[in-house]
Amino acid sequence: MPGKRNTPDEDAPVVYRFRLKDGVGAASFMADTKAVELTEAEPQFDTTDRLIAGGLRGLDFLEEVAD
Amino acid sequence: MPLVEGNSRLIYAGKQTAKGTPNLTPTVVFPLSGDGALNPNREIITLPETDNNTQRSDSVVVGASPAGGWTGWLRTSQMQMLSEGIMGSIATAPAGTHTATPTKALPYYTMFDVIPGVQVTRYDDARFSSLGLSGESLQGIQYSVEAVALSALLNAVEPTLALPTDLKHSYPLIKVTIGGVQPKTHDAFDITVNRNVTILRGDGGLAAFDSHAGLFEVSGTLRKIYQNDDDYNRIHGGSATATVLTTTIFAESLSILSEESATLSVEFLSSGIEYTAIAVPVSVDGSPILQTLTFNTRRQATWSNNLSIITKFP
Repeated sequence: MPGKRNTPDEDAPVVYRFRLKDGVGAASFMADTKAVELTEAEPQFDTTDRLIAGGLRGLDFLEEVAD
Repeated sequence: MPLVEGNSRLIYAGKQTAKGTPNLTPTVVFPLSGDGALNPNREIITLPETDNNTQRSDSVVVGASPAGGWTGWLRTSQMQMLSEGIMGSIATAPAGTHTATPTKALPYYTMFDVIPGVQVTRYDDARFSSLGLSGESLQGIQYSVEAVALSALLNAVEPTLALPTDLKHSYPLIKVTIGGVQPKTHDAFDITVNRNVTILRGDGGLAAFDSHAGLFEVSGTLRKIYQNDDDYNRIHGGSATATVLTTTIFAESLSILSEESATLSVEFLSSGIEYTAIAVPVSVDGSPILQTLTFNTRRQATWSNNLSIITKFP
């Protein structure tokens, strides 16, 4: 599954990684109750929360990336 | 003591990084175009009980619902905050184009209701619960917002920000495009995004625990110069030449654009609005018919196609 990083250690949390799509200079959105600001200098957002990751998949300015 | 003029009230707002972390340096100041305010809204009831008396029971404070709303003239400099606040997320691509799209969670803001030099009330963890835009020929374009906060603090420190100086939009800047065509017959419009924010109170005293955005609803009306029965037939029958009623809801794309230049504009864009009513009124004074169409946006597989708000501001 893209964006899902499974490690040999089954207890390690799965990291879901998102980044700004090409051409998107900056974005802000809510993840849980935190405001997240992404910029060209810092275009990436990681979460281990499956529900948050599910919500982020609906944002068309983000793309999920494999590690 | 000097008296205080009535046209001095301002609302300041700044986005918070998280719930419970007030932002004491607001980034936008909103002048008001009419009545408006945020209010602490203590909830007061009576708790009647029997006694040998017929006096009214004393009042009791049972909670607080800090909330309020205001109206102002549409300015591009303020729409990044308003559109992100009501939609939930905003992305800049390319530079100068800011597209707000809906998400389930909404950002928190710290808002200040200020009568300069006299009264400052701070509202923490506020969320925008509705945003409306309306315009009519020969008038200005007005926005209206409602906000719901979790707590209020009296006698706060007054923020300082320069008042906006960019253009207040008016109806000649408006272009209403339906189904990809601008018929130039739209004489008035209003559109409202409602997030149906409710409060979860908990046992935190007069501060509520959290707020929650409910159903995402976008509705409005279009007032259109009546030239023929095409709209009437489309809405009731599905096409301009229909003869029988249809069970299908007629839908088409909608863009309401307020554009002062190629780099300064605000657009409400929906891939599909569905009309729920059309009114073709009588004017006994013989004036031409202006029909009113009532709509709401359609559910979409991709939520942002339901509605996005695009602000162009450098």
